Amino acid sequence: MISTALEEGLISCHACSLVANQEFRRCDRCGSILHKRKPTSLGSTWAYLLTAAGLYIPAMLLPVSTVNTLGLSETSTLMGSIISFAQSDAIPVAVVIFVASIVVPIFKILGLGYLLVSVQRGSKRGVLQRAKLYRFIEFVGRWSMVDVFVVALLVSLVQLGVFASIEPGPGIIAFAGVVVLTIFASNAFDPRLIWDAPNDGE
Amino acid sequence: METNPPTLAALIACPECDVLHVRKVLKDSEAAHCVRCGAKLYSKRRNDIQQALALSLAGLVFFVMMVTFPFLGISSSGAERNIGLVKSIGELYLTQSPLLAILVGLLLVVFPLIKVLGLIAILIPLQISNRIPGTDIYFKLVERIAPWNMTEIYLVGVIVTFVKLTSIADVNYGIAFWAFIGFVVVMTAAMNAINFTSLWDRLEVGEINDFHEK
Repeated sequence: MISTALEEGLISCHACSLVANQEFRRCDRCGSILHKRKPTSLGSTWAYLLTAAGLYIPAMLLPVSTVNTLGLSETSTLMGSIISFAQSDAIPVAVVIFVASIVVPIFKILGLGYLLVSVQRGSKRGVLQRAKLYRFIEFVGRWSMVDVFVVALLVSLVQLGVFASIEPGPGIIAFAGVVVLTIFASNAFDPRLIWDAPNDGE
Repeated sequence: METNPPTLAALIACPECDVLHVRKVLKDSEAAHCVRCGAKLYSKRRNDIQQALALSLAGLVFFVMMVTFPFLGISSSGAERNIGLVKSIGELYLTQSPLLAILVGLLLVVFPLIKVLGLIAILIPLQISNRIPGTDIYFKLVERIAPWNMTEIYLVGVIVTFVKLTSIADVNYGIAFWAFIGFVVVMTAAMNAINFTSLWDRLEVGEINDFHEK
């Protein structure tokens, strides 16, 4: 027989996992304020997610870096740098950057959006799959930061006066914003909401 | 059945799906998982505190090396440049992009430092006794920055940068780069050795014992 803390009139401390009665305001052990579920979970997740989605457009369109070599300067976008990796036969690197910068953010934004919509509709289908989807989204999200680190490193390293220098473009700031906001979004989402709907019906 | 207050300490709710479980005494190297969604609830490992403390202290040594020694260098047609981790972030802040510098500085210097010092501050009192007055602030801090742990992702970034530059310049790795790898390895091992729920439970055992003594 399975029952949840919520159904038993109990509440689990989000910080230290001590179980308390629901009339308690603060955790007896660690002093954290107790919440049955993360407060304003759906609204906050939506806000972070939509901002991230909006910022993804300038992140794709604006230049991420400008390379100056002997008087010539060349700007490139995120997609442009992936293509130039592929053309210079660095296929594995092109794949890594493509997955980290294009596939993961889009998958994360769509995946969290799907979780939010399904929770708001009170969906009872594929609950375990959705719980696993959330776990996967939390796990892969951080890896999008690779390209931000690459640009920061290139900019710091390649400062060889007139021979070669690299400058960061506005696109990489927008992209860093996308990654940070999607991490905020997945932190704000409360996975227990996925399970709440089916239990209400039983 | 028996839900009077003292047995509340024997319960644990799954952090991901809220199902209640009655705690069981685990054998060494065992972990308890949620019966419904499979999330990890708590675990037991012999000498976990000792191991994690030793690894964290090694992590602190690597951290100091990582911020003091040269990190990477390039040379191309006579021009040469070596950079340190902290100095390069400072330069990035002053000359190129303050926003990017703040982000990278937080992710690669500030958060890793909080993590290693926080772990040491948690683990030393636990190693000496079960009472850890005031250390719960470090527990919460270390758990809060956990989603921002990106040190291993930075290593992938270094490899990509290396590939990008091999055609135009020679790249060489400094001591700080190897220290960075050491830091990632020992801190990952330290976090694997301990389980935060189990550490919190130690605190409670101490308090319950005190309660009974009064």
